[in-house]
Amino acid sequence: MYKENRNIKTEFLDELDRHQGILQKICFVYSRNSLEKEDLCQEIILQLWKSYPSFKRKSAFSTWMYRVALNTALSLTKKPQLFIKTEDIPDNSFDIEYSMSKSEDIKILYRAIYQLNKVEKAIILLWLEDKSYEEIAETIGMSVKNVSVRLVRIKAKIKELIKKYQ
Amino acid sequence: MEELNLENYKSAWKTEQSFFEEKLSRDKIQKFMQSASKNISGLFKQSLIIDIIIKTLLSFSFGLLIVFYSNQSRIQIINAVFIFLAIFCIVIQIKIYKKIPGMKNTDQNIKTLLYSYIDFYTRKFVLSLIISSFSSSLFFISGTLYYFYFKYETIRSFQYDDYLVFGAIVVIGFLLSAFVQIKNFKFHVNQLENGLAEIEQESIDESKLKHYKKLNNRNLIIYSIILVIGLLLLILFIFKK
Repeated sequence: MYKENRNIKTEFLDELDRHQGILQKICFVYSRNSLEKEDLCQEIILQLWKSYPSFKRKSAFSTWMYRVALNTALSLTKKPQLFIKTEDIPDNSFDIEYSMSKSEDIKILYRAIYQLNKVEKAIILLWLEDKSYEEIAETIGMSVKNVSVRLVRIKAKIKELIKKYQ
Repeated sequence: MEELNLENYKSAWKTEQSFFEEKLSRDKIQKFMQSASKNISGLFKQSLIIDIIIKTLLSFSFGLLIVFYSNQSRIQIINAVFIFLAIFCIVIQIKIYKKIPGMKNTDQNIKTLLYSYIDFYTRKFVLSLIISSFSSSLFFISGTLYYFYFKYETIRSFQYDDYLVFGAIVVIGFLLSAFVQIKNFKFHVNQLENGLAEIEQESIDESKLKHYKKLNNRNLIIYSIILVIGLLLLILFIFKK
């Protein structure tokens, strides 16, 4: 039993190691500073590990990882802050130092994506990762038609924002 | 003006080296695997555990009062009722704890997951919040019984204005605790509802969320009325001559 658990753990760590890029990308997009990024990474890794026994390998590890990681990012709620109304906290402000290590295109793209809401971020993230409309629809729980309509709108929005930041 | 091509940004995204270079070490990953969850389920599980511990301590406290008031059978019965109530609440909290949804079913999509969370928190978790708020009233009653024991060695007789003051403190204690917890609970659930509304792209009034909001408010009112009436009857029962 102990040996089996150890094997599962090693297997999980190997898989995660191979797909750390996915983790980094999702955490990067859904955070506004390094601290938030670390917190989100921690939560995603925890949820991945907890749900790993139910991963039946019907899909690729990366597909499953996207699903769990996005589910975690979208269902993570902010803590209430005393004396500050939530609407007073600007959601689109982020630490300028945060994306410094990235190339110029990614910095601009990040600034644009950060203006989107959580669901729009998930859709554009999956599109950037070359996922099909069917996969995006399945991951989020929308119709394929809805995904295509939303993507057109999101892309237009992103283009506008990129032009502004260029 | 040249049309902006998003495909260029897509290529840059896919080839960005920093995403693959900024790797977490195995040690750090293993540390994260053992950490406590900060998501809504984790937060509510934590609050349930705290309440279960408080109610267990309160049960022991009422048990001790049975020993203190050993020659006064009516007070012993009252304390036994409180122990029963605390244990009953603990059992309900444990049942709710076990039903807290998680991400174990990884086949579910984001929309289904958010629905399952909202459905659970509006249907079942409201009861848990009310039970949890009951702790402050129990704590006050237990404290008062200790005070009476050490000062008079019995429960002194109450005048009508005493009933009013004592009853008001017990009810205000409950309502204040319920208010804070419900406010905190709604803050989190609203964020989930907003996420769902973003997916559905409907106004909350048009969607199923409206139904959940109605259900939530109805449950809150019913449970609170039952509990406040129960508390007032208990006070009358304890301090009746």
